[in-house]
Amino acid sequence: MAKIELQNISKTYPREAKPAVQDLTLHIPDGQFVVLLGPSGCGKSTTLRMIAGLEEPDSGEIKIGELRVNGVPPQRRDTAFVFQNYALYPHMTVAQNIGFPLKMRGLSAQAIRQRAEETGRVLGLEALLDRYPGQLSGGERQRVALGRAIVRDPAVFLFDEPLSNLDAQLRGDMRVELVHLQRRLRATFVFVTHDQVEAMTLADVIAVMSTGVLQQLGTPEQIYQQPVNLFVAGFIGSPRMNFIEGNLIAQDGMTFLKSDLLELPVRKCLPDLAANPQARIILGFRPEDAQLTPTGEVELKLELIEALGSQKFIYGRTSQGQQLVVGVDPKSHLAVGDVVNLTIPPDGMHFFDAETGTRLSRHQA
Amino acid sequence: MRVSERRSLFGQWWSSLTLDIYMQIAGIVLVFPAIFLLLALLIAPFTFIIWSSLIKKGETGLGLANYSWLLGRTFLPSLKNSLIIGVGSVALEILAAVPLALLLNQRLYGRGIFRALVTLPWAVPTISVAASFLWLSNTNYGLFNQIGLASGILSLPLAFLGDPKLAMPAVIVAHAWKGLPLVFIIIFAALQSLPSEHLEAAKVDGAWGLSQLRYIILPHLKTAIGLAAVLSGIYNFALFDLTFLLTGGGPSGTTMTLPMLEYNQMFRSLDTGRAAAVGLTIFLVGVLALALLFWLNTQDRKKRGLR
Amino acid sequence: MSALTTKETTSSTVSWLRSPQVKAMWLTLIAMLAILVITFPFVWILLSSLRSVENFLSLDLRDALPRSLDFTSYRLALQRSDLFLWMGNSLFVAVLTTCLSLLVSAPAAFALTRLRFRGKDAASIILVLSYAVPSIMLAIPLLVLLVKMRLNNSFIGLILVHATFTIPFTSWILQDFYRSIPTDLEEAGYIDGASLVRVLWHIILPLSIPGLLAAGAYSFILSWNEFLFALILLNSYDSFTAPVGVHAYFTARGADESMWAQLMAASVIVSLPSVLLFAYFQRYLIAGFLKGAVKG
Ligand SMILES: Nc1ncnc2c1ncn2[C@@H]1O[C@H](COP(=O)(O)OP(=O)(O)O)[C@@H](O)[C@H]1O
Ligand SMILES: [Mg+2]
Repeated sequence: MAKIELQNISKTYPREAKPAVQDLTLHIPDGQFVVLLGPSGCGKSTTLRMIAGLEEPDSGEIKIGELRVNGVPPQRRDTAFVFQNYALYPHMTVAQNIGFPLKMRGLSAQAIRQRAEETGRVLGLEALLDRYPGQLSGGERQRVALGRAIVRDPAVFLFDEPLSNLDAQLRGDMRVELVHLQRRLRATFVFVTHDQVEAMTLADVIAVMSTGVLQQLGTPEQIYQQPVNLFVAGFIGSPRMNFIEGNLIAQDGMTFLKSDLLELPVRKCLPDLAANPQARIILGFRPEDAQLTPTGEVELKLELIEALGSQKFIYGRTSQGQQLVVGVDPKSHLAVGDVVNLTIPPDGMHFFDAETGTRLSRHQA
Repeated sequence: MRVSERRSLFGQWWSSLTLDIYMQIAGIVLVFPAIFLLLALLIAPFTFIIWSSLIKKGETGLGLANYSWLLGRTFLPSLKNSLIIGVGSVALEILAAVPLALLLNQRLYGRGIFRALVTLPWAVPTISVAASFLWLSNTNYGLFNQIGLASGILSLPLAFLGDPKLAMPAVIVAHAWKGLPLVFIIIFAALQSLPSEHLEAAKVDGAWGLSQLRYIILPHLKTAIGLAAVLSGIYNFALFDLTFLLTGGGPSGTTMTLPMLEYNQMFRSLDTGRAAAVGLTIFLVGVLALALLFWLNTQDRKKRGLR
Repeated sequence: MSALTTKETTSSTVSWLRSPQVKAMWLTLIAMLAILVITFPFVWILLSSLRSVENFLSLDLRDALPRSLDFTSYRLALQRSDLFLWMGNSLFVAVLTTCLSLLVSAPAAFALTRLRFRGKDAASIILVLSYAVPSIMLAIPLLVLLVKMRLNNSFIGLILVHATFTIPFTSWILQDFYRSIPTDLEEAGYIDGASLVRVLWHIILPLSIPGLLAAGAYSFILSWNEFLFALILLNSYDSFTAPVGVHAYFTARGADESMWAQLMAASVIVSLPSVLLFAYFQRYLIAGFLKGAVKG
């Protein structure tokens, strides 16, 4: 059980131009389930591997517990790592795989077998202990990899997209199981994924990364409701948040967001533009936050309807050509070609600086 | 984890090393035996051969006498013979390997077995290759003469390896036979790396049969053919044992190659200096050929890059 | 796809001769002929070695093929020459050469494919270059040096010399093999608390047995077949390797044409270990090339 502190970590791979991780500072309290989330290639694995000691950062400090671990080889960092492809030793049985970390610590064969059996029981692998990895299904291999991690009771658990090779059903089950496991062990889990649904279901705290830079650290709710910049706003949520770029102008005692494609009245939820009232801004709203009302200010002509069962999304264009996506009641009867009116409630509006992409806080009017 | 278990991980001496230093040390340690052995067995002889090539037989001072001897009447014909063998055998190998590779890349039964059999000559010891060719081309009892005489093609038996006109072609064929597997594998591998979509696309564009071969397959194989030609050419150019066993350089020196010449200078004339000079020439020709290949490849890449 | 169908329907006589199966059969037939030509020299010594000694030198073409399997030539070759002794020598040299080259090239190949360290590029270059140096150029200085070290006419000298070309070769095959082992496995080993040595021992070694066997087989073949160095370095009849022994035995009796039958049998015997090993392990070599291990 230990906290993890990353302080100004940077890493550029040899012969690469761009850094894989850049000035990353991340404090993970003891016993938390933290998910590193971001598109593929954004440096999640690199971060995880630096915690494990499989890569060394070029600069910055890594602490596990109270111990500075820079330069400490992986063998001594006391982490467990679950790989995407499980990395089970193909020439060892399940019991030997699970027992391998204990063997490396010099436990007696008897003790190893006993603890491998215990762990196997916890994970429902009793019947498979003497099989080889080649004889197991994907889900079973996943469990063995998990068993090899928990058998030695490490300081922290590191997971690199461990569920991405499982089918959807199994992935769902494993998520639940992982959450239970973490609650029971009360250990620190750092879990890497590019799947936002996975991140939302698992995490106490999500760290969103992009191009090697930490974008936002927060609970799933914070990340969803108050994305700090355009990247996070666009990355979280499916379908993507709608973005409209424009200027704020005052007219007839009302404030409008005026873009080339749309003119939208905005009320009571203006961003704080004290610094530069002329700046171009981006308004974002989530498809599911917009509401269809006959009196809505925006007219949308439907071009595509996506019915997902419990949800329904309509894709359309305003008369000036702005494309928008809106979530509607799944039972609603709409057809392509229909024209609907929609309104965006003030709460659902997010404002971003068009230049920097950062969120503009609202000023209470 | 129990405290005692944790401690056992911290106890070893290497525990104070960082990963990078650890890898550095481990890398050197693991590579060292192989590299040391090779360097010891290559550098010492190399220095020695350069040194002794500068000493004339019976003298002690350094000089270029052995190299000026190279310009004389013994060396140049051997260089020519070696070049003929190198180039000739490679030409045969490629003429055989390209159609074979194309054939074995088709859908046919027992492809794996065929592929194994084509590469088999690689594993046959030179002594057996030589024995086979000597027996096949034997003047009195060899199969070639038997067939030739029985079918009426020949009126008199031929001494394939004893006739000054025929010895060289025969030696070339033997070299080509032994070298075919390597050339075949390189070309076959390149052929396999040709995405089948290219061929499909070409078919849609109306390229069939020969034009497909000319415009798509052969250009794709160009680099591989060049590589195979140079590697196999150098190998055959410098190969000693096959010529030694088949003709010993005869008849009347028509198959006297550089390696044979070097051997004779060393063991017949007991002239280490001249032998060394010949040996270095063999090496230099190989280096030149490799450099040529490299240069051609970069030129080719540049040309394609510009297009 | 579409081009294929249109082409076939336009030539309205869609003959069964154009069907893929028939085409494959034709091609197979052609391939068989080609293979027969290519393997002919080897097939021929095999056939000749099985002919009866009496009509071995018969000029009648009908006697060219053996009527029945006759192993007399083999018996004579083994009895009259010291082929057993020479094969024993060859075995000794080839096995030790193989052990030596595996012993040094397995760790080297691992380091070159898996570890980051300074000097790695230099080591790779030395491996490649040492394979490119022609044997004949090394033969003479090596002989002189080994004479000075009193290692001429000893198997140790020959084994060391053979190692100069087997080590680069085995390293090449093993590097290719290690690349096919996922790095995850080693990393999992480090995470699980194993030192590099223990990762090598518990994880890499068991997984590389097939690769070691294949590389070993090739090293064995190269050493077993080698002629030049064995010819130069070994000069007593008892210490000949099989190829040199066969050469010495038959050149000593060169004029005697009744020796041909024995020579054929001896050639087959000497080839057999190499050919059998190759037959079993050839797919590894071809696979290595196919994976693009050779790139200009
Ligand atoms: N071993 C490596 N050598 C060079 N570049 C690498 C290596 N591993 C990852 N990278 C690069 O570093 C960046 C981050 O990679 P990674 O951490 O694996 O991303 P993620 O796990 O988020 O998909 C990518 O651009 C990737 O191409
Ligand atoms: Mg990754």
